[in-house]
Formats: sequence, structure tokens, C-alpha cells
Amino acid sequence: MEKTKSQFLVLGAGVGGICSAIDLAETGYSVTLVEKGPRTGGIMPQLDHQFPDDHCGMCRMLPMVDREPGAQTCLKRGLSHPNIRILTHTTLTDLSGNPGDYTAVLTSVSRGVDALRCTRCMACIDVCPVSVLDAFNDRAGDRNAIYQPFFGNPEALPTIDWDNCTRCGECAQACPNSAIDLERVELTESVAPVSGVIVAGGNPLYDPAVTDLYGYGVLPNVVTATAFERILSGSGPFRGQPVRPSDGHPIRRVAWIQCVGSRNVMIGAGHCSSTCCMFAVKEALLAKKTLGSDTDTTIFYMDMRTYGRDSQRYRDRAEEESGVRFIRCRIHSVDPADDPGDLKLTYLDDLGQPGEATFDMVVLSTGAGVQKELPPLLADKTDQGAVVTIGPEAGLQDIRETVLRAHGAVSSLLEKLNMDSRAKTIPKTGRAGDKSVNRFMQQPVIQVLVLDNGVVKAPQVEWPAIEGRLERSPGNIFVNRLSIIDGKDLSLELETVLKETRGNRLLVVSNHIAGYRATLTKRFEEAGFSAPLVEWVDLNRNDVSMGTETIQPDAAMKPIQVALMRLLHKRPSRGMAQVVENSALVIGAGPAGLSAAVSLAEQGVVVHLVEKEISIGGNGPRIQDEHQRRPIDQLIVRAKGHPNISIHTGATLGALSGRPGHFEGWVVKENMEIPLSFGAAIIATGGTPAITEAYGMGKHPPLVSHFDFEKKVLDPRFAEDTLNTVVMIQCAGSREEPRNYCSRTCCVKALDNALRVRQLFPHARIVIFYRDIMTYGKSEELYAKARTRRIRFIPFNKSKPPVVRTEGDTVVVDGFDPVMGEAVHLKADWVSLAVGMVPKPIHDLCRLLEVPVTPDGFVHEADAKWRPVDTINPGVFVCGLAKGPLRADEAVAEGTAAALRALRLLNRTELAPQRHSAVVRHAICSRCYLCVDSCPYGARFVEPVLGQVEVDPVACQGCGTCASVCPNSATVMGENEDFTVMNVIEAALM
Amino acid sequence: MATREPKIIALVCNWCTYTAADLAGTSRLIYPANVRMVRFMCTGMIDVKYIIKAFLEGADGVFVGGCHPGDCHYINGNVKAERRISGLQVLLEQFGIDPKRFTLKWIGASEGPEFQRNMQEFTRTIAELGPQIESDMMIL
Amino acid sequence: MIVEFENTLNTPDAVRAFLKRLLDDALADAVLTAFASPHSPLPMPTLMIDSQLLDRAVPLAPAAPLNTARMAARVLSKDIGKRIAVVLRPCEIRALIEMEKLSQCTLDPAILISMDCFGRMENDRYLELAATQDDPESAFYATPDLQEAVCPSCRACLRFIPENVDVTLCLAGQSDKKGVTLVSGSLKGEKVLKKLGGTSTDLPLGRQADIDRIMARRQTHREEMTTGAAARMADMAVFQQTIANCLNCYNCRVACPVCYCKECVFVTDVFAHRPEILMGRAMKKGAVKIPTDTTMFHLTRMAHIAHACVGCGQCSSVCPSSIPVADLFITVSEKVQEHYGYIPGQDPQRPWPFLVVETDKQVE
Repeated sequence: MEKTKSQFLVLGAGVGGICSAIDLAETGYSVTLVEKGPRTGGIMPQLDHQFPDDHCGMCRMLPMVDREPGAQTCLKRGLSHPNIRILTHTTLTDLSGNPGDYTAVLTSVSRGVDALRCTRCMACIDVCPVSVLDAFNDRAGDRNAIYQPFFGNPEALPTIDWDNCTRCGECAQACPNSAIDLERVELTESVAPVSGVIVAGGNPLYDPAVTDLYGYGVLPNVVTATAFERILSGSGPFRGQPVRPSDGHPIRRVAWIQCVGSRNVMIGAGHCSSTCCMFAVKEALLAKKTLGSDTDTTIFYMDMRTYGRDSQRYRDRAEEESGVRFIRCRIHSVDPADDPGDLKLTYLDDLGQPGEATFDMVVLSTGAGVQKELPPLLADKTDQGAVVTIGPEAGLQDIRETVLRAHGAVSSLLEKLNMDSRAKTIPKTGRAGDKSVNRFMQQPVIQVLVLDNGVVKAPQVEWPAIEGRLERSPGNIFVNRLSIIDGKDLSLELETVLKETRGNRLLVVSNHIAGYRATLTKRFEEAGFSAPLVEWVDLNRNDVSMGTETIQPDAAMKPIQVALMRLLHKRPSRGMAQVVENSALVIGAGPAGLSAAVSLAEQGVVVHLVEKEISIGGNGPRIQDEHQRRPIDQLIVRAKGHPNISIHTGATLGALSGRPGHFEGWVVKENMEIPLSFGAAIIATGGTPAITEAYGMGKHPPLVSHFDFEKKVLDPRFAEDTLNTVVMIQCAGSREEPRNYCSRTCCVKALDNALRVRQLFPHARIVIFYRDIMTYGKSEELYAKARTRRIRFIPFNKSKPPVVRTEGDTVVVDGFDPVMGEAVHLKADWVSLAVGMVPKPIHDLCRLLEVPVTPDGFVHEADAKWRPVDTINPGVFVCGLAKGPLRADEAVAEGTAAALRALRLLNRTELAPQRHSAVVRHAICSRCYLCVDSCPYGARFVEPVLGQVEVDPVACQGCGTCASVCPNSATVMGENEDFTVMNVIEAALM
Repeated sequence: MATREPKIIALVCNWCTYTAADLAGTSRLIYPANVRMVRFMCTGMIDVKYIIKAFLEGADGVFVGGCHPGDCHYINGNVKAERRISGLQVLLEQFGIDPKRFTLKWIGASEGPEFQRNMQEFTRTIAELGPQIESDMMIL
Repeated sequence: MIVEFENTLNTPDAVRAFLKRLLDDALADAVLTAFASPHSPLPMPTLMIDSQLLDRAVPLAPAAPLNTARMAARVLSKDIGKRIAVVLRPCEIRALIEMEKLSQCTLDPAILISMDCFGRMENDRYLELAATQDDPESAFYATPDLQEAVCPSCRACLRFIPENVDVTLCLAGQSDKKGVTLVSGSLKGEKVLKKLGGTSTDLPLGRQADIDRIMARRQTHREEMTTGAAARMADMAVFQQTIANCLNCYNCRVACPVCYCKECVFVTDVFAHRPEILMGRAMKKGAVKIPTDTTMFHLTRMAHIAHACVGCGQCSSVCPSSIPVADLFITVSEKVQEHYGYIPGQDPQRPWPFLVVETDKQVE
């Protein structure tokens, strides 16, 4: 039972880095997470709100199984995971060796503050005379040259910003414990063997100061979108009470300018930054919430790229319910208005008319900046397969895409290294024979460690008085005071105490010892006191010591009593371990399903691939473009030939029972029932082009879908006919209720088709009626190209779509071109409609798998952003069109992501019972099933024979909703049973 | 009734309000020291018994702090708590426990100042209302 | 459908005849109703198959030593393919409907029969009546003074006309009339009445007036009761006096038809404090009363089920210390039910109110 030797390096601790580090760590590997900057989290700690639920939700990225309560907290405060070592201020300076066996050299810059000695009193920050623009607030606020880079974490260490530090020494003088060293030191360490590297460097945001666009850097009320979010934030420069930066006036009118630094060939930025449209909509709503619903919020845009599954409705709600204004135009300039501080926007609207408007603030929706080159050190090795980057080629990505790419990167890395991850799983603590387990089984005897770091700084603690009170408390309590000045005396004395103690639970009472916590935790664990057996009381917490010079014993005893009470109630975890079957069911053999199946099979998982149709491939073989089809053809071949994959075509899932880790069911095939058992299931049921009657589709032969038109265009005979006019109409029957979502693929398809037609017929008239061209990311280049090929783009509003009618045998399209200001009547040879995609019917399947379905019939993922391929059933994953419209290559990528998520579960030989999950006491349960109805995870089910409520310990996330609806505590939470909590409350009210 | 420092207990969720409290702490936003905090994984796990217990153990005010609706780490534990707690408020009012003594607020992880504000306001309200229960009643 | 039944018999006999017909004509496989055993006139809920034995049934007796809903829930805990006619008071019907929501029973096999309820007497009062009267049922319905001798919660009950039942036995406005008027409240009830073959008729002429008269009187009583009860719990100190004599016997919760727990949390280990905890409490407060958690018990019980309280008054009837538990409960639950807009027993489809997550607040 030794820890695996395989370790991975993750470079960059933004969303992608954290996500892939957690993925690797949860798959059983140890990870070194290397971050050049001072903190983890990337841009996330700067943002409080994300579309679509307007909240953060970053914590949903944390492991859902095998978690220790309390160890996990808000990810903005920093990450902590037993398998992840985090190095900030660190860069990779060398990487040598071969895939699977690299040696990495890491260079860290000292923070200038000794982690052990520092008491986190922050006196250093108070005295620092240097003030610099704070990057955390995107220059909308200041900070000192010594600062605390982590968000609200009282244990985080201050750090010196060497570039701005003047070495004046004020901080060193103010420090009560001589923790500051003003000499910048570089430390180098080498890490080996490293199996593989994930590069998650992130994308820099465009800096509008570079091109002096719209007065940024000159006019103080012109800010970036990130800065504006900081201005609105409770943790931002205005502490949640935002005012105009220039003069402190209230902010009543805010304008967003889209595509700053994107879609602008003149500054060499031809790409679309993909994320800014939704960011702006979200921010406008946030502004209304923070500044008042009557705040004028106006978004000036070219196309609102609401291509995500939930985006269009979100935008519509913003416009129709919250009154966010959307103006399609090009901004000419931003100038100071007559009233000081006000800003005047001049623009040309979509009718070509000049317009003018005045605002208090202008927010620049800055997209992706200049892509960082991969250092040669790494670039050389990407071909070897063991250095994987998280999709920099795609440019700036939103959270969802980043998370997907992180999953995908980990998956492909493991696949390439041919890891049989299951063999290398890190064993879990808490098994028989472990001292911790024995200690749990004993009557509580409490060893109190009073740790005194000897710091002479308020608030002081009267240790002897506290010790005296502790000794007089009822129960078996032993108290030892240890001095930990500089950590020197810690080792021997502590060892003796831990060895000789009769205690089986530890209470650590201390003042200013945050820096020692990690070391101590490790020492305790070695001595058989695993984390749940230890409670910590730091008397320096603000709820104890707030504003006092001396901590009175009375005040100190309050948190101590609470901790004692918790320790007195610690009990061993109950329940049985769940054996995990190393096999998976993949439902649907289209691009997503095939990709998931192959990826799992490559990593040693037995895969049952079930396909309803008689052949596999889904929509893949119907892809006309050979270049796009090839990867799917390859997947078909690989799946068919893979020894770990058994394919059941013409088959459906007939029944299912069991829990994550072990399901049993059967597939029905030609009236045969084939029994199957598997540990996880992946839904990849796909979708089909929508059937629509919009514009008279189906009534006139020249009206075809983009898919059919593509087939025609690629047919060699197409060129033989004459062709005068082709009209394409986008969003036919979609992006409005009831199918109010963007199908993502149609705009590119229309452009592809248009360019093909242009090539065949240089003189044909090609007209595209569109609402917003959704060429996100790199595909924007295709749009730019089409614009130069005499393809006429006519925008329309959903309330005034073009009209298709017949004149005799010919089809005529009537519309209005706002740019030219004229009505158009087009006799069309072909009218091609973007019909969009709909999911295959999946309600029955989802009922079987206990997974919810969206109103549009897509599978509802666990969290749209943070857990995009998970479902709320922890044994069921989803990818591809079943979950939302996407391109075939995106479906393939999602397939690998889903495979990785399944692998995180399947790599374990068994799932240990959770300390923090619910248990039912059947003898007193009245079977009212309120708990079953209230469980948000469907983790409870009724055993059919006696009607007992059973809990799936894997699906149970320990939220405790069940326990609070149960009137007689027949369902209880491990760790948080009623009597524990009530005694804790009693102790807290001493 | 003898005057004494108001006793306030804050039952807060691990993910949002607890983080906000720490943020307030690290931002050195001072709030009254008579607030005792008990951390829960989710406000959804706060049983009515806990609140009754708190009042019977001499709490003059009970503050429940959770994630904003939609932001619950456990999907919707917070709104379920709200529903349950609202009824308890009505109930306790019948026993002379002023509904102002018992409040539920949504405070997100980044809302340190909001946490401070709430603590200050709540403590002020409770101080104005005075002690809730005589200590000899707590024997019963 | 409204049917006049057996208009030659006096009303209690007509009701017994109706129940007998249910068994004789195989409209039901069993009848659960109040039955006076040979050993005592006090009616006990009894599951009856033999229609002859129904002669001793006293479905209209103004007594209910326990809330029959709990007994009915036992018989109906599972559908075993037998149709069971249950005769319950309106409050018991309400409790039974609440129990179905909590999966404690299924009403599919039940034929719910209830009556315009004039209330029940406390046991000793009824035994007195039974000792002096040959036909206590008829005597009760004929004597308005006796109707005033029912227990306090019945005197304050405003929901004495059955809801959500298959068949209602109309008693209001019936005083001097023979027979009984049956009203169907569901398709199931209508089928039964059709097969019975009675003559279709209108509601008894004086019924509404009688209901109004009773309602007016009860409203006065209720106001008195709630005002009195509110004063007895105006603050914690007063409330302590009110429940000072509580023995922690938990009879109130055992008698309560909606307190559905198999085992109350107050008798589980949650409140079985270990000696060190008791010592700790005593140290902190100087003393601690044992039994502990008396106030906690009453408040928690209210918090758990005030929204579902049907106002049957059994809790008061069984209290050995004569604490007006029901008065307090009825007063509090009036407010809580108003808060949730929830009336127990009114809508069988409506889930318990604190389970409802308002959709606009839910994550989509």
C-alpha cells in the first residue's frame, strides 16, 4: 500500500490547471501544481458571478466523493488536496528526460515572509508606504508592496511584490516575530520522476492601453470588464458600494463596448474572444442588481454571440425582464462629455445612422490578448505526447470550455502514457489496522496541545488560566503546553507527547500558528491522529480576539468548549465499502460516445457500447466534409477492433439498478435481454437536425436545410446547373421559444456552403439573412473571409423575419436590408435554412438513470460551468449532442472529458464509506420518505421489500437536508448528528 | 432583568457565509465579538431543533447565514432552509420571541463587508431588544 | 349524489343499517368504526367483517378515546386488495389525509365515511352519559345542552363538516328527523350510493341553518380559547408556568394523529444525555432539571407538526397534568398554517409546506 510513484506536473493554477490537478489527484496520482503568480485560481477569485446562475459555484469543481468535510472550503481561498502540492511564485526552468520519466527543475522566488514565523497579523501590510495599482482589481484599486494575495483566507501568507518593494524595511520592523527577509532569493529544486506535464498557462486578456482604444488609461471612467466587476464586488476597491472612479459620483448609466481587441483586423486581432458577450450580459445584470434596477445598462455590439445552450434565454431575460438595452452598432469614439466625468459615445447604428449617448462609465469588453508562446523547453516535447497543453489553439475560453479541455487534456495524457491507472490508485486512509481507526473505536480521551509561539504581540493569551480551566473540565482531558518558537522545540517534545499520550483525540489550542498547520497535520497523521480526530482552535480568530489586547480566559474558552464538544462526539464512520466494477456502459455510438468508449478502453476499462441504430457512428458518417469526418471514421475503426469494447447495435438499455460503482441492468436487442454490470454509465445519445415548418419548409422543393444543401453543393452535378441566387436564412425555428437556443453549428455551415457556392459560381448572388453570426473563436476568420467574397449579409430581428413565398414555380424571399435601407425581393434557386439541432428523445433513459432533463429535452448536467459532463448521479456522465448543440469535433472532445470523469470513479477498487454522509436508522424510521423527496442528489432510494430508505453513500454529498426534514433523527449525518450539533450550540453559548 | 452582553449565535454555511466571515476578518472589518459562529456544511442541514435549542440555551439572537439562492453548493439547501425557518419564525413569535431575533440572510463568499454590516446591525437590534430569557429558565 | 336512507329508523340505527348494507351487499370487505364492547360502553375503533356485530357499533357516539386516524392508517398501511369502509370524524379524516402524504397509508382501498361532527366528550363524561342513557347517541343529538359538554377543542372546531370524503352522513339539521341523508363526495362514494339504491333527494332543509348556528357558537369559543392560550404563552416565562407540571410522559405526542414518528426523537439517543453532558450543564447553570428538555419538547413538537395540526384535542385529553396542550397547539398552528397557506387535510395533492422549493428560486 505505497503511494504511487507516478507524479505529474501541472503548470498554471488557473481554472484549467486546478481542474486538471484535481482530476489527476482524484484519479490517484500525485500532482505538483506550479504557479508563477502569487496565488491559485487564475481570474476566478476576481469574479464573484458567472452566467448562468449569476453566482460563483467554483467550489463545485471540488471532489464530490471521498471528501473530508471542513477540509474543503471556498476555492477562492485556495486549494487543498492531499495529493496536490502547490507551489506559487514558481516556474519550470528545465525539463529533461523522456516521457514517463522526466526530471523537472523548478525555480521559486522567495516571498520575503517566513511561513512558519509569520503570525498572519498583517502588521507589515499596514506600515508599507508603497502603493501600487492592484492587478487583482485590474488597476481599479491599490495595494501595498507587501500584500496578502489570497482571497479572505486568514491562514494565507503575506507576500512581497519584489518589483515594487523599495526595501525601506518598515515591514521588517513592524513584524513582531522577525518573519520578514527583504532579500529576494531564488530557490531551485528538482522533481523526478515526472510522468507527464500539463500546461495550463491560460490566456492573457487584451490590454486596451496598448492601442489607446476608447480613451482607456486616459479617461478614468473607462474601465475593462474585469475592473468593472471588481468595482461592483464586495471584496473590491469600493467594498461593495461602488461609485464612479473619477469623482465618487453614483453610477447610473453604464455602457459596454463589445469586441475590444477582438474582431479587429486592423490591430491584428481577427479572432472572436468567445466569452465577452455573455460576460457583458452577466455584468449588465450584475450592475442592475448592485446599482439599482433602474440603472441604464446598454451593450453596444456587432453580434451577440449567445451560442451556449442556455445563453439565448439568458440574454432574452436580460433584455425583456431586466431592461438591459442592446444596440447593434460600431462605436466610433468615446470622448469626455460636457459634464466632468461623463462620457459621450458616438456610433453608427445598424441603420447606418450616427448616434450619440452619454454615460457615467464605459466598460470595455476586452477579449483575448496576445497568445503566449509555449517556451521552447516545452514546445519541443509536445510531440512526445507526455506534455499536453490545455487548448491554447482555441484562444480564450469560458469556464465550461476550459473545464472540458482540462478533463480532455488529462484524459489524453493518461491515454498516451498508457497508464493503467487503477493499479496505481493511492490507498485511502481509514482501513483496519490504522491507528486512527482504533482511536475512533475508543471512549474519547482528549489530549490538549497548547501551542505557544511566544510572539509578543497583542492579543496576548493567559495560557495558565486557560490550562487550568481545561483541566477542570469534565471528561478525560490531558493538557500539555508546548513552546513552538521557531519550530525548534517542536520536534522532540511533540513526539514525546504524541507517543506517550493516553488521549485518542487531539485538541490544538494556539495563537498565531497558521504556518505550522501543514507540518503539524502531517505529524499528527503519522502518530495516528488522522484529520477528523483533530480539532484546532486558533485564538487569534476575529470572533475571539476582535479588538482586544488580551484574550480573556472566558472568551477563549468559548471556542475551546465548542471544539471539545465536537471531539467528544467523533465516531467511526459507518456503512460498507462499495466495490467498484472497472467497466462502463456507453449509450450511443456517435462521435461523443465512440470517443468516450475508446478513451476508457485504452485505459483498461471494459466498455459496453450500446447503440440504438444498426450501425455505429451516429451523425459521423453523414458528415460531408472529409476532413471533419476522418477522425470519426478512425474512432469507428478503433472501437470495432478494441478488445475492451463490446458493441451492441440495435440495442437499448432495458433496466437498471444499483449504485455508482456497481450498476446492473440489461440491454434489449432483438427481444433478447443481455445482462450487464458496470461501474459507470455515459450518456451519448446524440441528436438530429430539427424538423421545422418555419418559412414553409417541406412545402416547396427549393427550401432545404443547410445539411441537405451541403449535400447538393458537394454533389458534382450541382456545378452543371445554372445558379443565379441562393438565399440562406439562419435560426429557422430556433433561438426563439419554444426552441430558444442556438445550435452553434449552423452559422459555420452556412458560411462553408456560401464559400463553396461562390467558388463554383463566381457570379451567383448569395444572401444570408442572420440574427447574429455565431462564429466564435477561430471561426470568426471564416466570417471575415466570407465578407470579402461578395456574400451579402442581411441582419434581421426575430420579430421581423424575412418572408418566403411562391410566385408560380419560383420561390421569392422578401426582406429588408437595414444597412442599405431598402426592401429586398429575391427570386431564389435555393433557399437553405438553418434548422438547428434537437436531442434524441431521452426521457425514458434518463428516468432509468435518475438524471434530470432540460425543458428542451437535453440531459441536465450537474453544473453547466463547473461540472459540464457530470450529472447529479455520480455514476452517470454525459457528453455530446445529448447535452447541447455542438460540432462533431467538440463532441469528440467532450467524449474524452466524460471518459476521464468516469475514470475518476472507476479507478478506485472500492469506495470507502464517507464519514460525512447520511445514515438511516431503520428501527426508528417511519418511512415517510420526506428525506427521499428532499434529497437534491437522488441519493436515497426505497428498498422494495421492507420499504426501508437506503442511502447511496457515493451519491450522498453530505448536505444534511435529509436529516433536517426527518423529525425524529432517523436519518443522521455522520459528524453532524443532532446531539453533537446541539451540544456544540450549547457550548458556544456558554 | 439584569443587563448583560447580548449573546448571539451565527449558524453559517461552510461555503459562503463562513468564507465571507473570514474575508471580513482578513480585511479587518471589525464586527462585535459577542457573535459566536457555528459552521455547518449547508444551511439546509440546520434543523429547527438547533434554533430552538439556541434560544433555550440563552441566545438572545440567532443569525443564519447561507449562500444566495442559486449559489448553494448543494443545489438548493438554502432555499429549503428559508422555507422551514420562516415557519419557525412565526411559531416562536407566539412565544414572545421577536422575529427580529431570528434572521436568515444570504451572504456570498465575497461579501465580507456585507457580513460585517449584518453582524453590526443584528447585534445592535438584539442589544436594543435586550435579553431574551432569564438564566433560571435554562435549568428547565 | 344525495340519498335519503332508511327514513323509518332513528338516525343512529339508520347509520348502522347503512354500514351493514356495505358489508351485506359486498360494497366493502370490512368496516372500521367505533364499537362498544360487551365490557365497556366506551367506543373503540374496531375492524368489522361480520355485519351482525355492527349492531353494537356506535359510529355516532360522542366519544373518541383515541384518534381513529392512527388506527385507520394501520389498517390502510398497504393496499391488500380489500375495500375498507372507515367511519371517521372530520378531524380524523384530515389527519388520515396528512398521513397519506407521509406514506403512512394509502387511501385507494378506503371508502371514507364521515359525519357532520358535533364533537366528542371526554371519556369520563361519556361514561357518565352512557351510564344514564340507553341510547347515548340519540340522546346526544337530541340534547343541545349535551352538545355543549364536548371537549374544549371540539367546541372551538370550525372544520366540523367533512371534506375529501366519499360519503358524508348529514347530521346537522337532522335533530328530529328519522333516517339519515347520505351525500357522496367522490365518484367512489357515488357508486356506493347508487348501488344502495336510495331515493335521490336534497340536502336536509335545516342543515345550513344548523351549521351556521354551530359555527357562530364555535367561533366565539375559539376566540376565547385562542385568546386564553395566547396569554399562556405570551413570553417564555409565562409559557414555563403553563407547562410547569409537564412530566415528559409524551402522552400528548402518542395521542397525536399527525405526530407520525414511530419513535419520538425525544426518546431516542439524541436526548439521552450522557452523564458528563448533564454534569456540564449543571456546572454551567448551577442546576439542571431532570427530566430534561421539557420546553424543548413542546416547542420542537410544534415546529415539527404545527402546520399539520388538525385540532382534534387528543393531546389535552390524555395529559395527566391537565396542561391545555391542544389550546396552545391550535393557537400556534392557526398562525403557522396561515403563514404557509396550508390547511391540513384540505388538499390531498399538496405536499408538506416546507418541502416546497419555490421554483423561481431553484436552480434550473
